[in-house]
Amino acid sequence: MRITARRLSKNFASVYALNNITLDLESKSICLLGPNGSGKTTFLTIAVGLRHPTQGYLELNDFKPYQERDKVLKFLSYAFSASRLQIGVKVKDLIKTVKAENFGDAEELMQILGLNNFANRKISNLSSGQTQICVLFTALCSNSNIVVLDEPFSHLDPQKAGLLMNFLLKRDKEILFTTHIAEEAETLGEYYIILDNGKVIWSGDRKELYSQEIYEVYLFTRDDFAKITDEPLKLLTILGRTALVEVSDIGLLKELVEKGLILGFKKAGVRSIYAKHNVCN
Amino acid sequence: MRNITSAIKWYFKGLFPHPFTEFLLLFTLLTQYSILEYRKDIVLFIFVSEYIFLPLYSIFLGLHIIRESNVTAFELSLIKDWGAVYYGKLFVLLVGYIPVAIGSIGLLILYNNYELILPLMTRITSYIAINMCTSVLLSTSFALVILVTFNFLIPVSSLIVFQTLPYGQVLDYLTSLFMYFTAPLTSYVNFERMSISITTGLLTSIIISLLLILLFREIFRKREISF
Repeated sequence: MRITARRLSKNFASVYALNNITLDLESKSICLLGPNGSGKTTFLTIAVGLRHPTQGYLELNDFKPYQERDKVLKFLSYAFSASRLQIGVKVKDLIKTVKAENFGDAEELMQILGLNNFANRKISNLSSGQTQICVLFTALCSNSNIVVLDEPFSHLDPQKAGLLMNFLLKRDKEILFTTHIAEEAETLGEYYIILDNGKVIWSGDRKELYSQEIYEVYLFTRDDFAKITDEPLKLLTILGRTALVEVSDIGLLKELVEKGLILGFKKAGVRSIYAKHNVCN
Repeated sequence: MRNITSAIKWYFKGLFPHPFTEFLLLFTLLTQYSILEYRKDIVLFIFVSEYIFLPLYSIFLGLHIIRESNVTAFELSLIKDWGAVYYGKLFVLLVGYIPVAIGSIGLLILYNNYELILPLMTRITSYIAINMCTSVLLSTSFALVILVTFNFLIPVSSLIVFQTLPYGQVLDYLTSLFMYFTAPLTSYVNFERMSISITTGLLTSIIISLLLILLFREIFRKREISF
């Protein structure tokens, strides 16, 4: 999938949701990240043609989606995060409608998402998680080559989220998605765009994401970091019981694990960028 | 075409059979029948139809096709065609009005009130146009305000206008046209207060309704979906 944006802006009265974004990238799986109100969903709504930019333009595979709305829907499907949908239609009727137009993955997805468990209920009466399942089912069953997903796992339980991630990874589809969760981004993404206040503060591929010597260090308790402050580690931030540290020698972290001072560690991806750019801190 | 069929099937779900729609339809036709059979009062037939039952039935049908913006985004993802979403709603509305149109027109024919058939058809066409216009708002609460205004408040206001109009005075061209569009049955019985003839007024009103339906199709195809 190829995304080209030139001076892309979208404002609502005096508030800029997207502010002068210029991008040119091609990747099979693009992840949009950023704090609440950073412009992720606005970017997606323009990318699928639901909204028009105020200034500049955005092209998806050389199409301006908001100018060729019907054409775009032929090769793209999307799912926006929804906690409730006021539709007086039963889930089984939705399944029937989706199955009538699409082939292949419907049965497998129904199994993964557990759709049959609430097939006789009306969509308007579903919980937020079940509603999200219906929205995802509709988007993922489509024959479209590109799937655009807005926080796809936000209302799902961890098991379903995991199964769905496996499903997405093994499918030959291109994905453009947003998330707040670093692990989801690192599992599914191949190219990353980080937004803050409507501007791109960082973009790059996986190689660039993991290019810095920054590690996530897992602690037993928050206070445990005091025990390792004598070590030559540079603390960047503490997120709950995870510390983000900059260290030149990975052997030092291995020693700390052996000594039982930390639970474990892994190379930081998204969180390292967040820490470097003071996002969500 | 495949998308339109899919849209029609989708929007049909939840409309018929619905207990309230069926109950309202039955109650409307029974009331119209009893007025024509026992009271033999065509003005009462018009008032009851235009001020109570038809607006209520119309609002109920309208609420079925009026969706919030997040639901519209979901349905576009499902149906994959902006035009099909609009035409799917339009078709379902048309089918929704068929029972009440057939029933009411059948009663008018049965009791030899042929002259009311065109005003009734005009009324139904304007209901469809107003419902399609409000469906583009993508807000149930805002749409409901518009529907109540156009289906109840304006027709009742038109009655007040006719009742308070000094004897011998006629409404100007634009107001007459507005009356034919918003309250064609009431306008029919007050035709001598209009500056447009009944046939011209009613046919113009039908044309306006059709133009509105086409205009709002274009508005829908171009409007932003925000949520």
